[in-house]
Parts: sequence; C-alpha cells; structure tokens
Amino acid sequence: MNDAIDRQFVLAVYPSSHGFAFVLFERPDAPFDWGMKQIRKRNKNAQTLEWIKKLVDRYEPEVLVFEAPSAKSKRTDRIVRLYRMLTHFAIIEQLSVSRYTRAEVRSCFATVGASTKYEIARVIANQIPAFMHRLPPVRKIWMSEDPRQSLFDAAALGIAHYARKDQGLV
Amino acid sequence: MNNKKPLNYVRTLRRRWALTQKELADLLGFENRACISRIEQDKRIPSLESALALEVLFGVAPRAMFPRVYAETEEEVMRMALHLYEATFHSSSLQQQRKRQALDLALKRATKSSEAKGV
Repeated sequence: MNDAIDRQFVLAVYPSSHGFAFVLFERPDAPFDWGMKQIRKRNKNAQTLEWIKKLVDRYEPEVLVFEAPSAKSKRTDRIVRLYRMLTHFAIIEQLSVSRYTRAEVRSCFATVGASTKYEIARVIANQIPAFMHRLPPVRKIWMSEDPRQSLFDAAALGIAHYARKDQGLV
Repeated sequence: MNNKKPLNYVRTLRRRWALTQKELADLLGFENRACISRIEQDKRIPSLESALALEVLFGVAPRAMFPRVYAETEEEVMRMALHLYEATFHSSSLQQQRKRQALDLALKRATKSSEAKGV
C-alpha cells in the first residue's frame, strides 16, 4: 500500500451476458478496485465500452487485459465484437493490451491444481481475501452461471497477466 | 466518475472488508454516506480524527492510506524547511545548529522516501 503515487495499474475486464466485471490491480495480490456492472439496455457493447472508458479515465491504467477468444471459444458474436472494439479503444487511448486465451489462463493456475472455473475462483479467493465473500457456490449442471463468477474470471485474467510477466512472456 | 486518480485507499479497504459507505459513515460518526463518498473520491480530505478513526478501523496508517496527501504535505514542508535552513545557515549558535539538525534529519527522511518511490 506504500508509495502508491507511482503505482502502475492493470485493468482486467471480463464481459458476460449480464454486463461486465472488472478488477483493477495494483499488484497481483492487491486489487485497488473491482466490481460488476449490469448492462441490460440495448446496444450492450457501446454501453460496456462507455463504462470501461470511464474506468480508464479515472484510474489511467497502464495495461488493459481481456480474453482472447480461441477458435474453440463459445463466446457470442457480440462479445467477440466487443473485444475488437476494446482493441481499437486501447489503441486510441494508447494503452498496452494483453490478451489471454482461456487455455493460457488455465495453464497459469494449473501449477496450484486448479483447472475448472470454480477451482480457479477458489484459488483467487484464497489469494485475495477481499473476494472471499463473493465466491459463488459450486455450479451444478442444471444451474446457469452465477454473475459473480465474472468477477473471478476478470481477476484470473489479471493474475495470469502478472504470472506471464514474471515469466518474461509479456 | 468525475474525479481522476483517487489516490487513497479508503474505498479499497472499505470494500475489502465488505463494508457499505453507510456502515463506514456510522462507524466514523458521519451523518450520512456522502461524506465517505467524497473522501473516497478525493474530493474531501478527512479530519485528523477521521484519519485516526480509519487507522483504528483498518490498521493502516494515514500516511499509507492517503499517499498523495502525504506526498503533497511532505513537499510543502520540505520547501518551507529549506527556507528556514537557508535563513539559519550562517548562524553558529547552538540553538540554530539544533534546528539545522532537525531539518537535516527531516530532509534525509524525505529523500529516503522519495528514493523508495523511485522519484
């Protein structure tokens, strides 16, 4: 928490059908801000981009981290379009962009034995106590995904970014 | 989200401990949550009592919780200290030497914290 004047923020975002989640990291184990924004109106992508722009204006992060949908990805066309919009936005704002596929994120957590979304979320909750009370329950096969999961997905992207940076891959 | 770079940790700490603005306002003795919101957005500098109350609550010193305010205060004090140092520089009385020692120590502490920040 000391010497925060010169800090460098990493903003990880994870869009979902409900809206989007974000985690603003100061260090891998120290998020500065986080949240979920529900977007229910039409033109979700424009609204999401507007909110992300507000976050960028407010916190001036160094890096914007989001998912790189792989060929096997089941992300909707809308979200794939949103990722393209985010890339353009980052270029305009002169932000560094780091994109990771789900497989890359999983590989970062494989060392601690976490492979499913829930296992990864549990590891994150243990690493970041502030998220512990937001951990969603284990998802049963008949349940739709808990909206809180997107917060952990965003956090996983941010942590994966730091892990790959430590490995010299970024 | 009008304010840029809210350089304090009140919001982070409050949310880390799952407190609402209303609850924190009650704990600090404020009438409503707007005061907390203003502190979180750097629109208001808390009083000494409030800063100490936040330290009691979260165990984080005001210096670490409000790094920008600390940095600005340090800069201003160092600027004034330099004036005083220059004013007493040619005097060799014990009293003035003692003052210069205090200013020297303050300057060293300030330099050390600047170096730690990489400034």
